Amino acid sequence: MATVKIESLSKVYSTRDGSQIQALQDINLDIPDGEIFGIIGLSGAGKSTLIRCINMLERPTTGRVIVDGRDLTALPSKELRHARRQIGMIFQQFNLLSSRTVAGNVAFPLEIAGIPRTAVRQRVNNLLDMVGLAEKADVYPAELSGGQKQRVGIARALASEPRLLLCDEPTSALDPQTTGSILHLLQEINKKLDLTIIIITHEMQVIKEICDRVAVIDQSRIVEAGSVLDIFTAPQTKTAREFVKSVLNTAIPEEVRQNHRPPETGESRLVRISFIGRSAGQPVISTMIKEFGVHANILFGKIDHIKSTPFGTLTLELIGPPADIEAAVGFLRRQQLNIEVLSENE
Amino acid sequence: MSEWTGELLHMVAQGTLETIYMVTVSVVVSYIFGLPLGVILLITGEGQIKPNPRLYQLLGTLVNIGRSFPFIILLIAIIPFTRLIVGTFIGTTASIVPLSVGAIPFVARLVETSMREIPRGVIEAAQAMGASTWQIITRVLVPEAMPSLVAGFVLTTITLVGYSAMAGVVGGGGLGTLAYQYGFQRYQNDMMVVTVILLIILVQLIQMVGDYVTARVNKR
Ligand SMILES: Nc1ncnc2c1ncn2[C@@H]1O[C@H](COP(=O)(O)OP(=O)(O)OP(=O)(O)O)[C@@H](O)[C@H]1O
Ligand SMILES: [Mg+2]
Repeated sequence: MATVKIESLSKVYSTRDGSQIQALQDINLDIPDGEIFGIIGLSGAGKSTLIRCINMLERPTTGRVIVDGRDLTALPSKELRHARRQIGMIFQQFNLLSSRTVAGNVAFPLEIAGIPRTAVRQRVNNLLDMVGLAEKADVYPAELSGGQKQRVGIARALASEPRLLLCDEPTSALDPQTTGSILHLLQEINKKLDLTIIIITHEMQVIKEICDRVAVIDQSRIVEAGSVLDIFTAPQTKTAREFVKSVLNTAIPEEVRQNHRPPETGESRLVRISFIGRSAGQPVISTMIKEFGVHANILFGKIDHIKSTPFGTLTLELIGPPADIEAAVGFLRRQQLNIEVLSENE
Repeated sequence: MSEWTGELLHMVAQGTLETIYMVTVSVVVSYIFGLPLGVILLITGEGQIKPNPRLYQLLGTLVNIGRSFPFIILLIAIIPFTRLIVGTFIGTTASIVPLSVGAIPFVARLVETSMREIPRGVIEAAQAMGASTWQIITRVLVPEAMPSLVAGFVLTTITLVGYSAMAGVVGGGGLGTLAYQYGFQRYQNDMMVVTVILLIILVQLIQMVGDYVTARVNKR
């Protein structure tokens, strides 16, 4: 396990024509032991730069990166190489050695660390077992599928028993199903090996499936950070809202919208209720209908999972006298539900 | 027309061996210097693992100058240097000096180009695992570029067969000298034909072996 602390980190690239690109600005993060921490952002936001600054593949312009209490920005190169052995990394493009077999690739970090051959072989076998590739040990990477290559990448990253695993878009080159199995594997090793994982992605799906906490990076700054549940239920920034929308499509489907007619008597309002975890089980809606005398027309509902917590949304049309609707909405808000009033029909 | 006496056959055999000797030794010498030079050229380049613009510029310029010399001029221009090293500038051993000197910059560029084809990410992965510069050179750059390095080695060897024939014209020995002295100066056309055929066979053999080895080391 490892803790990672990033303090007022910035990175400026100087380009050949003399201009400067501010890739990161005033980044502060605190990642505790054993957490799966996601960093999401659009292309060019600075995600890769940020994760590469953690193991000094990219030197931060200012700021510090403290892994397990050690400031990596201050280490001389030899000590930095040793520190890097405690930090595994996997990549979007896998970056396996094409001249080595699967077993040879996994053995690479061990050979570099000068571990004796017999011990290497034993450890490589265990790792290949863990990622489910034991029978591919003597195959060259060219003969593997993308998902298998990433499994080799993961086994290789874990070979030197790191306490921190950095993942730069580990599933972006994979199809959705393979993505699922790789994410599952990452989650498994996080639990089994008590490994801290930092994962960079532009896919909210990845965050939703395995991350505990997430930071949203936009135009070189972290604009929002918090627990994944919080970001999903109450995104604060436009960027975060867009990302949430990309995986939780809570918009009312077009056919529902078209077939919907406002009631002939009384007023109506559309409200969207989001509920997390336990409150999903309470009979909130029926209580509301009974107590406030409004009618509720269910337009659209959906239940999803964030990591393993159920997360649901329900779009209702409340019909009745304005005062009753007002009271009903007030009641819903008091239930610690997340309420959004979508429209007010006259 | 000459008679194909035992003596002539002996000369042809001797010439072939001399050519093989010259080419082999100069290939080895040119790689002893060219391979490290190529590696240094690569790693000191912009955005590489040991960037050093000044060194890169300096070596790059030297290599370019070396490569722009026509071999026949180099052959003559470095005679004093050859004398200094071998004691003479005539004969097979003396030819090895210009052949090697001419091939070193060629080899350096070939090596650099071969290694430049390795995806940057693969090298970064090794860095991220804590590999030292030397470990990256020996365990990533060389093995990953091997198919391309072998192909470059074959190209260098074949080029040196051609250069060695040129050296032969100015008394360097080998098949080139035979072709020149007998085939050209004494109008023995059959000697010319025989040496040319032998050179072609030599080049074919090198290419075949080279292609076979290239295919064997290519795991991509
Ligand atoms: N080596 C470099 N030299 C100059 N500019 C760079 C360099 N690397 C990245 N940048 C710039 O820094 C910014 C952030 O790049 P970065 O690669 O971190 O983005 P990203 O969020 O990973 O994007 P993507 O999703 O496309 O991979 C971009 O504007 C990019 O052009
Ligand atoms: Mg990136």
